[in-house]
Amino acid sequence: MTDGSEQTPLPEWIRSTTDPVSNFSFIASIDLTRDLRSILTGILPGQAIPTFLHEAMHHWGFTSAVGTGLALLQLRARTAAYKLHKVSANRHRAVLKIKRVNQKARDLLQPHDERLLVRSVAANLLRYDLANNALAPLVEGIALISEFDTFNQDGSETTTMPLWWAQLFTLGDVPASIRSRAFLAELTSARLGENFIKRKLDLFSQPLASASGPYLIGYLCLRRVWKQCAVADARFKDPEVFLTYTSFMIFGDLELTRILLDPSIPVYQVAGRALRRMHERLTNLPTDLENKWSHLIDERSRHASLARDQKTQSVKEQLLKEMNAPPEVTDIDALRFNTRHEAIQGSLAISAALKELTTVNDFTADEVIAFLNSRTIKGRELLRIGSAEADLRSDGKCITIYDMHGSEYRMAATSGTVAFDRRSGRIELLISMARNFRVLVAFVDQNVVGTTFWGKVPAAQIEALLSDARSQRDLAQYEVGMRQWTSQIVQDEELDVTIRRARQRLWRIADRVFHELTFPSHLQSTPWERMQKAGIFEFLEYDEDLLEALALTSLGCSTRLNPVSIRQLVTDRLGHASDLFSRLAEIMCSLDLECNLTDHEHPTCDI
Amino acid sequence: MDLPAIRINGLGAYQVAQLKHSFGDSVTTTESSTVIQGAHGEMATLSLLVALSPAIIGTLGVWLAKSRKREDIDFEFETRRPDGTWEKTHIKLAKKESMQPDASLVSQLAKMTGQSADAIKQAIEQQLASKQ
Repeated sequence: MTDGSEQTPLPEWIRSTTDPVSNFSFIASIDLTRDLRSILTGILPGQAIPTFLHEAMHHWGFTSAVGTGLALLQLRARTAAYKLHKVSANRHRAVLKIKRVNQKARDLLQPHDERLLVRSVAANLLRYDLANNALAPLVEGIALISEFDTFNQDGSETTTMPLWWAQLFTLGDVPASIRSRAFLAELTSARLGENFIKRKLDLFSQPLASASGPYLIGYLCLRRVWKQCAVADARFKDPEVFLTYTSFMIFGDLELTRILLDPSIPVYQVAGRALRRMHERLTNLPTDLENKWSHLIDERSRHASLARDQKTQSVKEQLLKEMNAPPEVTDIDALRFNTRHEAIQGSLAISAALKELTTVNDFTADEVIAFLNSRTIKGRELLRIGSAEADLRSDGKCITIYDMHGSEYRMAATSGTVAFDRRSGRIELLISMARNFRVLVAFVDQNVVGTTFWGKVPAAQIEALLSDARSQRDLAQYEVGMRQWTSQIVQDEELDVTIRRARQRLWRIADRVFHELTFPSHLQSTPWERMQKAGIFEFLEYDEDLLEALALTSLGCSTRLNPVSIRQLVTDRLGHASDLFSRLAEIMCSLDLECNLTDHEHPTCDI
Repeated sequence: MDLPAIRINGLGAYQVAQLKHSFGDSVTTTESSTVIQGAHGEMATLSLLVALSPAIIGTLGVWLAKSRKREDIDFEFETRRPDGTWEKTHIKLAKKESMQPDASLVSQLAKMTGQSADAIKQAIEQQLASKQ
């Protein structure tokens, strides 16, 4: 078996992405070679803020129960492929040995479990593909709200992890007393810059069809749900409250996790059932907010204190331990996010799959694949901010890093690192949002040789976590290689055809589900049909001034500008603002949405 | 007039929608790749492929003039040679408010399409006149 890292060339890195399986993130706008000095002093380049908020939200979402469930499907396929590879190799050797024996004897060596394994690889690949596609609109919708709408208001009850980390990276050594205000100024400046405006225009010009992309469909759907939540409870006007709540409701849904993982649910039913479940959750999201929110805040506080108490055990491990123990599931039940039955079934599905894939047993058959799966699961905690080549030198105790500007940085060598002369290596900046630390790691070949970390986590814990970590490039190569290897081992051309057909069916169902969630029933299909090619831009009949005014109003509202300033922004950009706002108000009203600048204190833009 | 096909790379969805709306639906688009298939992330940049004609060149010229109104621009184009290979070029223009085609825009478009500067200027002016 190959792990693929030596053989598979990486595709060209163009887009910032996060992979649900490895939780590997690539943030295109961060160049550690260029940005290392500023990042080490705590300053993220301004142009990286939107991408960081987007990818960090994906990463955070994928560490949840649902995200882990999705990853486990791919690992199941990989494990079955590995076993198939071994069984086939053994059979081939046996056949060679008995070449002179008659055909009947050879037939006895065609084990039926090869066919079962092929079926298992194919079924899990299909299950993963459909589940990933079914979740995509909400995964993207939540990340887009993080990118375009998050804002940490004074007195907010919560802050999402991505915004908290963006704040940490943006401010350097700004005094704590003015951090919040300083970050808002930074975020406002970035959000009203050309980069953000272009991204919002791109979002509004996305086709509104599942088959053409999940962005606008997910964003509009969640903006509608957000509006309903805010009407039901004013605290939900705060984007941080809404995002925290929605993330827990979707990504923390243990019943959805069970639907993904339960092998007794036929593959062809998985996507439909997952979509129905998400529809049900989103429809019920705005109800009983008071109770749900207080439970959620209590639970988060409990986990925070639990993390402080359990210094040698990660929150994730502790949570998994809790989830694995049925008597304690009542704590999760108390959240009211999952019924007791759902919580138990979902927890059992996840813990069984984790155990099945990361220990040596009948399914994994040997320790190689169990170790590889285990390493993948462990590595999912780390968000990779950036990676760069650098010259490194070791005296056995310290590693010296030489950057491209001629500066030198020193970090502690990891135990077992020997002295070596100056040579090429890699450095990487990683963060763990779950355990609240960031760490700069030095790699030589595939080994970790040095680390420097910031945070209150014991060094031994970080060293254990990083002991078999791989560099960003190695990890990407490994994942790309394993995906190709797993799908190729089936060698079934029909699998591709089946996946394509199943996706088409899924997208038809998804369109119906998201249509219903996004537009009130009295609007029927008209707006949807007029957004199929170019989204809101098409709905506005390709009127560029109207679309740009809408994008600016939306960004202005997200940074709490007053109506006068928003009007000024539009006038500065377009040269006029005359009737644009009244036209926008009218058009948005036809979608049962509000775009209102008449209230001098609280301008509103629902998208 | 023997005109090649061109590909414009690195476009956002808004730019593609603007161009598709102007060019008609006879264009094709492809998405930029991700590191790992099935990964989630920021919206893709797109490449747009279109067969050139005088009207398309005029539309492209007007679109470039409009795009430079707010900032300096640098677009990557690929032109298909007669032997089927692609030649990469960049059109770089400094920020300018006016929509009227200037020498820099005209000469870069002429070089890329293999047409005369006069033909390019005429195509752009016709497009501008049709919009008024």
